[in-house]
Amino acid sequence: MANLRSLPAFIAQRYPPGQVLALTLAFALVLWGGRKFVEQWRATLPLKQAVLMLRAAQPENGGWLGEDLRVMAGQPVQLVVTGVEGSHAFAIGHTEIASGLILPGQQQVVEFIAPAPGRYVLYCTQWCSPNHWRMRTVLEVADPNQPDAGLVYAQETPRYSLSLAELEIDAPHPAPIWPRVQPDEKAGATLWKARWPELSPREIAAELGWPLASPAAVYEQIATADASGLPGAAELEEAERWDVIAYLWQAQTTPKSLALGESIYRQNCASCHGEDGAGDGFAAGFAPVAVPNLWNAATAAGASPALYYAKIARGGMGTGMPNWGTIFREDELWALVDYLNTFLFDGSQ
Amino acid sequence: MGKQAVRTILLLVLLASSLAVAGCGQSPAPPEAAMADLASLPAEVKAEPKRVTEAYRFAAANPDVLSRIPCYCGCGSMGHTSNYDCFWQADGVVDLHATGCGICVDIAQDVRQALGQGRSLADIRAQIDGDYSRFGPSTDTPPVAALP
Repeated sequence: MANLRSLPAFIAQRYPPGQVLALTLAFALVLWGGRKFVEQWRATLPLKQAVLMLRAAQPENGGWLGEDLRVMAGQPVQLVVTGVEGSHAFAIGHTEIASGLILPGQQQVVEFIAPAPGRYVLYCTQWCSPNHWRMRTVLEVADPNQPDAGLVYAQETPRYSLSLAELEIDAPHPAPIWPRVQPDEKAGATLWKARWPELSPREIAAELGWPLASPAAVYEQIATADASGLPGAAELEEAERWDVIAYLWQAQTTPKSLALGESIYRQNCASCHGEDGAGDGFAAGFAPVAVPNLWNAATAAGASPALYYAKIARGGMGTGMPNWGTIFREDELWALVDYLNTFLFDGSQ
Repeated sequence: MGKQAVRTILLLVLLASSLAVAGCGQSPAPPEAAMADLASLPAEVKAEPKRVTEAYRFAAANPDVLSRIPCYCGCGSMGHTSNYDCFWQADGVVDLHATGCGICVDIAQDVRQALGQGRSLADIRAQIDGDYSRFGPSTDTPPVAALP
């Protein structure tokens, strides 16, 4: 020990400071290089499976209980969720990861490969309480090459460049005019083929302001003889014009998107908004404000697709309407908008 | 001080700095973000789910932090100037706005988590802007640099 303690003094006595400095720097360089080498070598090894444990309690008692959920991108993950009280299920936004029903005393084990770096919302998909919508937590997926870098929520490039900050999301949207009977999309398609076979409904809709224009605004445009890209639309009967608008709206979506929108709606929206959008879901009474009737043509015709999108993504301002923008992908949000439009425009729904 | 002592000190300093360069030092885990007591919340907030009561408790204990974080729920139109205003008014009067708001609570919870990870307020604000500015208008919130 005595020898070890006097080692620095021994070195200092024996070697000139320049040499000591050079040797020390070389030593530091070797250590640093070695560390980098080990880090890079580790990155080439398959990541060990992470086992994450969660307990599912009622949202009043904490909802998802357990440690912070943090894994590395590409890491195999086993997520074990044990039911404590109530019945729940979960999905992780921006991924296809979802569980079956989680009942008290039972376990759901879901295995997946961690997605790209980012933050992901793990949320309850089974209505469990009036506070069901608060049952959220975050899965953090770090970049193995930059494990300490800050993370933001997973997000895609927006489909349309909308300035959401400029949309009046909370303003009432009464329509100056609305259809008195439910428009018939098929009749609109027939009219379109007869009168404008060479025109693309997508291009015309964009010209008329879709998705920022409401159905009522588009109606007013096409009812004006010279102001639209639809020559002759002003000569149509009122109901026929609404049929054409129904066709224009439905031509912006696909059966696949509508099916996706309907399935998301049934799982996440129907408990308050009602199975058919009438605002009479079994949990509607728990909301701090009345749940709107999405069938009401006098307001639905005043809502642009962009407005629906913004309301869904941001959620209500103090109304108890959840914010879905950090959960649903861009295609899912638009699928929901497409589905909501069917309440006004598709009599078969 | 003798020549030998100077050399010894120089050697020790160099050794210590070489270890630091090589990154062998471990920084201590950041402390958990401060939280006010649940008992201090008014009854109508206490009845809320835990995710919400936690946000109120965090806001109460960290006014300097949340008053530098914008809210994107649209509450700027109500006169709110930061996410803090969604929870507490001046003089410690509770604001029930956040009890019905998803984004307000999510922002406060995200800030709480990031603070617990030892991130700087400037980084946290950038994170919140990156996450929520696409959903709605920002409150007119003073910049982080304007902290007293």
